[in-house]
Amino acid sequence: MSNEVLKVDADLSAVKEIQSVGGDTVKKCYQCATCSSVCPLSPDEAPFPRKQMILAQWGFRDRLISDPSVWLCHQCGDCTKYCPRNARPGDVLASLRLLVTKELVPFKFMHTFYSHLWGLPILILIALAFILPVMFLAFKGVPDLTNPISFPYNPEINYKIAFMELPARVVMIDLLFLPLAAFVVIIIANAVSKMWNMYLDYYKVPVAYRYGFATVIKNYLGPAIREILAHSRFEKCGANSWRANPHKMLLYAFIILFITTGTVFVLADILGMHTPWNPFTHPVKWLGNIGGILLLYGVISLITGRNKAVLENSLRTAYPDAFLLWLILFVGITGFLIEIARIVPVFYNYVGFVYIAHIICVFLLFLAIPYSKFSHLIYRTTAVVFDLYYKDILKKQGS
Amino acid sequence: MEKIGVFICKSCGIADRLNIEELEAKAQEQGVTAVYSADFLCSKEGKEFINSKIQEHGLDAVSICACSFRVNYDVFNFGRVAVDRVSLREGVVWSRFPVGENGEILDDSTEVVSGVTFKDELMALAKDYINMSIAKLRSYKLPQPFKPEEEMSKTVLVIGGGVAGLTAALECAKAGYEVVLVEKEKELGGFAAKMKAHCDIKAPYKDLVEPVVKGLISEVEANEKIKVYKGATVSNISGAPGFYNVKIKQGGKEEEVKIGAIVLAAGFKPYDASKLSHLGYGVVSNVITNVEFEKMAAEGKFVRPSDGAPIKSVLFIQCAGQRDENHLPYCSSFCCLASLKQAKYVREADPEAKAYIVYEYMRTMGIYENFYKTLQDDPGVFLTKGEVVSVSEGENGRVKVVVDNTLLGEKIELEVDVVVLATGMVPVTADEPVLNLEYRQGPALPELELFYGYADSNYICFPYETRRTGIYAAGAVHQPMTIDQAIEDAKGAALKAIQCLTAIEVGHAVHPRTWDYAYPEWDLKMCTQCKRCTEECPFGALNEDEKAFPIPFITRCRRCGTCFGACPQRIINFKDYSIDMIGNMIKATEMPEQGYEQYRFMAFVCENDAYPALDMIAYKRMNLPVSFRVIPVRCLGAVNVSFIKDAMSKGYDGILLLGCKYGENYQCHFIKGSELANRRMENVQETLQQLALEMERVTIDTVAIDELEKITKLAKDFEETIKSYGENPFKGW
Repeated sequence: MSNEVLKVDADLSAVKEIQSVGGDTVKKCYQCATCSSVCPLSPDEAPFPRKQMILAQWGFRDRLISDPSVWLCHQCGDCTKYCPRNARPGDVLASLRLLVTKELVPFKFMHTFYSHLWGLPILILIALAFILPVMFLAFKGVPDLTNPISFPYNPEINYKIAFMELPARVVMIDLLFLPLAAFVVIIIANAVSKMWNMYLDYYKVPVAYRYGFATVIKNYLGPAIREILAHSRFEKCGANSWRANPHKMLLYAFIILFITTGTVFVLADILGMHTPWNPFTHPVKWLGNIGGILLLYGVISLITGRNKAVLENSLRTAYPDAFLLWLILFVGITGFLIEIARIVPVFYNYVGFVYIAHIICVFLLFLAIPYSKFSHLIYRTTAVVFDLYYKDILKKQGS
Repeated sequence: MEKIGVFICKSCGIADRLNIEELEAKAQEQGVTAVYSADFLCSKEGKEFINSKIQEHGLDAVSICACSFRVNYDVFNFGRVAVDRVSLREGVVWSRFPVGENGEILDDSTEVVSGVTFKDELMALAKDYINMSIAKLRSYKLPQPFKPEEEMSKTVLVIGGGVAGLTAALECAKAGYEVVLVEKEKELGGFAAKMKAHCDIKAPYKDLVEPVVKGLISEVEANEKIKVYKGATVSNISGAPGFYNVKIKQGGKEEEVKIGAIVLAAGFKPYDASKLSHLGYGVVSNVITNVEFEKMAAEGKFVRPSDGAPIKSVLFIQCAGQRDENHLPYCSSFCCLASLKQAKYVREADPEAKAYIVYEYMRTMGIYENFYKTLQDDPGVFLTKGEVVSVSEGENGRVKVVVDNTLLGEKIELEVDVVVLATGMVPVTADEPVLNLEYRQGPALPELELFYGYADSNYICFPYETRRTGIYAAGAVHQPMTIDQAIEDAKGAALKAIQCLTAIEVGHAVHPRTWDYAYPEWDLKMCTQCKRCTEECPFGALNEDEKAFPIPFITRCRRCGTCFGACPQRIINFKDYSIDMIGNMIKATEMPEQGYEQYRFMAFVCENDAYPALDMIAYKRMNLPVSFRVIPVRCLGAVNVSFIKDAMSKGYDGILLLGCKYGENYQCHFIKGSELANRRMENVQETLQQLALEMERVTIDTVAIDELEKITKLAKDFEETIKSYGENPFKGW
C-alpha cells in the first residue's frame, strides 16, 4: 500500500449520471470480485471490472478516464451472467465508457443529446441547421426537393476551383463533411492525447519508458490493428460470443465504405470522374455495395442478437446502445434507398428527400464519434495500444 | 424391586449372533421371577406379551433385552412398572465384530485366543449386560414427583421494560400468567423508545418504521395481568423456581413478591466512547456516537454539533471498538444496521447530502440483508471496507478521516461534516449482578466472562438456559441483537418460563431431563460438611446453612448428578440412580481369571452425546472392541470415584470415560460435568500411581456426537495401550 493519500469527495452527480445511461445497477455491487475472476479478458496485472465498479459507485470521474480497463472490456456479459447481486458489471462498464466519452471532449451537451431519446429531435435540428444553409449556399437558393434535376442532380450549377470542376452537390458534401471531419479529428486527437497521458500517470510509467508518438505508433499500433481486425479479444468473450462475428463484419463494412468514400473523393472530386456511376459496371460501386450489404448484415445481426441476449439477461440495451445501432442501420438503408430511387423510375422523384435523410444520418454518425458509444472506435483502439505497450514495457522492466 | 422379569428379543439380528437359550439360562441363574424370549418385543403382539406376563407374575420390574434405551422408549412403558433396557442390538450384535488383520469382518466362530471364539466373547458381553440390568433393577426404587408443601407461585418476573421485556411480559400475560415487570428507568421502552425509527420487523425488511416499542408500551400498560414497577430495581431474589421471594425496591420502599420464574431482559448500555479517543471521540469536534446521532435525528436536528451548520456529509465508522481485543472483542450485530439506517436519515434530510460508511465487516443479520441492499442502491451512500488510520480536525469545522486498505485500492482522505462512531453494546450484566440472587454461589449468573458479560449459554440446543434454573435471558442482555431478534428472543424466553412453571407443577425436572421425576436426596447424618456439592453444583442448586450443611433447592436442580459424583461420603443418591446401584452392576459382571488373555474394559459413557454416538456406531455397523462394557451415565460429573475403585478391584484392566467437551466453547450439557470429572480423575490417577498402576488405565476423553471414527479409534487405541501394560494385577483378588 502506498503512502500517498488520495483526497476523496464522492461525486453524487457522476453516480447519478452513470445510473442514467445504463449503469443503474452499479450500486448493487458488493465487491466480491466474481466478475474479475470470470472475465476472459481481465489481465492479471490490472484486473477488472471489480475495481471499476467501486470507482463508479463513488463517482470517480478522473480515475475512470485514466483507466484503460474500461475500454478493454468488450461487454461479453460473463460478469453480468455470474454476478451474484445482479449488479450487471458488463452493462455498468458500458455506461462508464459513455461517462468517459463525455469527460474527454468539449461541448458536453452534445453527449447529453446523444444519450437520451429526447435529444434525438434536437440532434436532427442541429444536423439540418448545418445541412440546409450549406445546401442553399451550394445550390444558390432553395432547390426543389421533389425534382432530382433541381436537387441533388442539378446539372447547371458547377463550381470551378483550381483545376477541379465540382457539381453543386459535391460542393455541398465537401463543405459539410470536410469541416465536420476536421472538427471530429481535432477533438478526438486531443482526447486521445489526454487519455494516453492519464494512462501513463495512472500506471506510473517511468519517464524513460514514455515513448514519443511516432514510436508508439510504429511499435504498437500495427499489432493493435491486427488484433482488432482479427477480433481476437472479442472472440474470447463468453456469454455474448454471438457478437464477435457481426461486429467484425460491421467493422469490415466501415473499412470498405471508408475506402470507397476515399476513392470516390479522389476520383470524383479531384480527378473529376463524376458520379453517379453505373452500379452494375463500376468496380468502386461494387465495392461500395459489398460494404453496404456487410453493414446491413452486421448491424441487423447485432440488433437481433442483442434482443436475444436481453431475453437471456446477459446484456441490456440502454438507449445509447440502441441509438447507435439504429443510426448505422439508417445510414445503410438510406444509402441503398438513394441507389434504388435513382434506378427505379417510380421512386426517382423521391431521391432528393432520401438524399437529405442519408446526409442527416451520416452527419450524425460522424458527430457520434466523439459524442456517443461510437467513440469506442477510437478509444478502445487507444486502450488496446496502451495495453500492448504497457505489457511490453513491463516485460522490459522485468528483464 | 422384588419381582423382576427378563424379556429377550430375538429380532433385528439378535438371535442370529447370540444363543438365546444360554442367555435365558443365565438370567434364570440370577433368580429372577420370569424369563422369556420372543420375536419383535416392540411389536403390538410383543408388548401385549410383556403386559400379560407382568399381570401373570405380578412383576414390578422388567428388563427389556432388545434395543438401545434411546429408541422405543414410548413402546416399553408399562406405567408404574420399573423398566430397564439392555441394548443387545446396538450395544452387542450391531457394534461388535471380529475384525481380521486387513479390517475385514470375520466369522463369529473365529478363535480370538486358543480355545476361545469371538462368539464366546460376544456371549460373555451379552450375559454381563443382562446381569448388570438385573442388578440395577434390584437396587432400583420408583421415583416420586417432587411436591413441596409450600404453594408454588406461577407469577413471572420480567426484569427490564425494553422491547424484550415488554414482549416477554405480554406473551406470558396472553398465556394466562400473572406478570410483574420491573423497569429501572422512569419510563418503559428502553433504547428503542428513544429512536427516530428502526428497521421494519416484518417482510420485506427493507424499510424504516416508527419504533414498535411504543405499541408494546401501551399494550403492557393496558394489560391487567401485568403489574409494572417503574423506576424500580430487584434488590434480592431468594428461594427457587416456583418459590422465589423477590424484593423490589421502588423509590424508598421495598416490596416482596412471590415469583415462579424469571425473564431477565435488562438490556445493554452503549460502549463508553470516551475510550475511543483514537477515533477522535472527545478530541475532535463533530465526532459523535451512533446513540448521540440517533438522539439528534429523533429531535430532527441534522446540524453539526460544533456550529449548527447543516450536515452535508457524514462518515460512519463501523466497529468503533467492536471486534477489538482492547475494547469489545465481539460483534454487536446491530451497529451496521444502525449506521445504514442513519445514512438513510442523512439522505432523506437532504437529497444532496452524502453518507460514507467505512467498515471492516458489513454484517446485517438475517434477512436485513434486504435493508443493506436498499441502502446500497442509494446513489448517495458510499460504502467501502477499510481501516481508519486517523480522525482529525479538518478545515472549516469539518472532520478529516484517513482510511487505508480500502476497496478503492488506495489510502484515502475524506473531509466530512460529522463522523459517527458506530459503537457497540455492553450487556448490563457485565457490570452488575442485576438479579441479586441469594445463592451460595453468588448474586449474579456465574462465569459471564465466557460470554463477554452476556447472560448467554453455550448450549446450542437450549439457547435460553442460563446457569440458574428458572431464569431465562432475553434481548440484548442475552446476546447482542436487533429489535426483531429481541422480540423473538423474548417470546422464546417467555415460553421457557412457562414451561418451567409447568414442570414444577407436575413435579419433574425443568431442564433438560424433563422426563425425570427422581431427584437427589441427601443423607445428612453422614455429611462431613466438605462443601463439594454446594460448590460444584453447576446450577447453584444448593445453599449452605451456617454449619456448612447443604440446603438443597430441588426446583433449581437439573438432575445432572454432579453432586452425586462429587460426594466422598456417597450420601447423595437418586431413587433410580445410586452409588450402590452402579457398584452392584459392576460386581454383577463376570471377570475372567488372570491369564485368560481376554481383557475387560469398563466405559462410563455420557448419555447426552457420547452414548448416542455409540448407537450411531452400531447403526453404521462400525466396530467397538468386544472387551468394552458400557455403563451410560447422566453426565461424567455423575461418575463417583467409587465406581472407578469398584471396577478396578473387580479386575477391569482399564476404565474409559467418555463425555462432552469442556472449558471454553464447552458442549457439556451440564456445563461443568466433564470438567469436574476430569479434575477428579487426576486424583484417581495419582492413587493409581501410588498403587504402581499405570495412569492410563483410567482415561477420560471428550467427544462430540458426530465423532464416530474418533470414538472407535479411541477405544481401539485404549485397548492396545492397556494390553501393552498387561492385565490388571488385582484381577481375581
